[in-house]
Amino acid sequence: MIKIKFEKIRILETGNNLGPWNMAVDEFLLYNCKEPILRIYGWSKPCISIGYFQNIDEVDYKKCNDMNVDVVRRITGGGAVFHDMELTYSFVTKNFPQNILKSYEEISEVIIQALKKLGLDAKFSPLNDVIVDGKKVCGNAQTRKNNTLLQHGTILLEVDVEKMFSLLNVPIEKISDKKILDVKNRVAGISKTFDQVSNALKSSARDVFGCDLVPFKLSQEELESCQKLMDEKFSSENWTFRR
Amino acid sequence: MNSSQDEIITTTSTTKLGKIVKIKIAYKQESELIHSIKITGDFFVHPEEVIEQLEQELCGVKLEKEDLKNKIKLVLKNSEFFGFEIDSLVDVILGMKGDKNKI
Repeated sequence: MIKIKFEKIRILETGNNLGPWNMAVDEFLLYNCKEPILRIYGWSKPCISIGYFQNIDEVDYKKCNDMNVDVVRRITGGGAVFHDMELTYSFVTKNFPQNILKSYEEISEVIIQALKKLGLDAKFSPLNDVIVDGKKVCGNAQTRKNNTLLQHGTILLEVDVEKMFSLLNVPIEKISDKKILDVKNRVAGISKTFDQVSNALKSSARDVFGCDLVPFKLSQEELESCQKLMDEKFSSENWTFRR
Repeated sequence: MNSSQDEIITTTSTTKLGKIVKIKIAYKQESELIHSIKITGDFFVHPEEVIEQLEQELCGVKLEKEDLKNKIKLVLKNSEFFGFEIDSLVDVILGMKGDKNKI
């Protein structure tokens, strides 16, 4: 049962960008939220994001550099995510259930309904996943600052499990065919295009929250703030290597 | 006992407690006091900064069940966390005591 409703949600479509920029925009929106915003974005080159609490050693940093894959630390918890063929969204709001599980469930309903519009039988899988046919197709993470919630997550379009494993520091004995098969059995892409998912997501947000959608762009001043955040935080080794 | 002779032992542990929790701990062998601790993993804690506070406040705490549990409870009392329980976190830390796998 969805309880949060909005009169309007601002829609921000920022296209494909580098990992540190994507994380900078999400943080900027979190700390400058006046109205609810749904941001839809992608990645101009592959990137691994690691969770706030993770050790950088989770990632084979040298191999990522060699393979031109960015590495960025998120401001949200959770595990390492290989961002490649996916649609990523972020949602910021000051109006949200205080209960964390409930807030994941209510916001994730937008994704579930979007996937249903695309013919997929999607379900919420606590705490923070969305599954289709028992496989994870969407992972989400939240943080809360100054009475504002940020939830961001990825909707997998296609998945390359072998490449993902090759970039993570998984003990060699665990990179077995069985382990890879195990992940393949638990994670899946939805085989839709970015535009299909983007359109479904916007339509679903309108339906689920009963609101108008108002597209907008970041101002030059806001873009400069994001640039500063990217340069000083998300591109810095101080932040990326902090744990 | 001369505290300068209290050798510091460093060990690591990786445990699945709902989510993966990796702990690196340095403790004094004789007094069993935590010298430093780093708790990493794919868990969630709200607010996130509490984990750094926890790591700081565990320094100087004895590797003893009630001491650890009380300190962790106190630091996390206004936090929400997913992927581990306090009791299991305490058990993992205690299980690292006497671990001779120095790094």
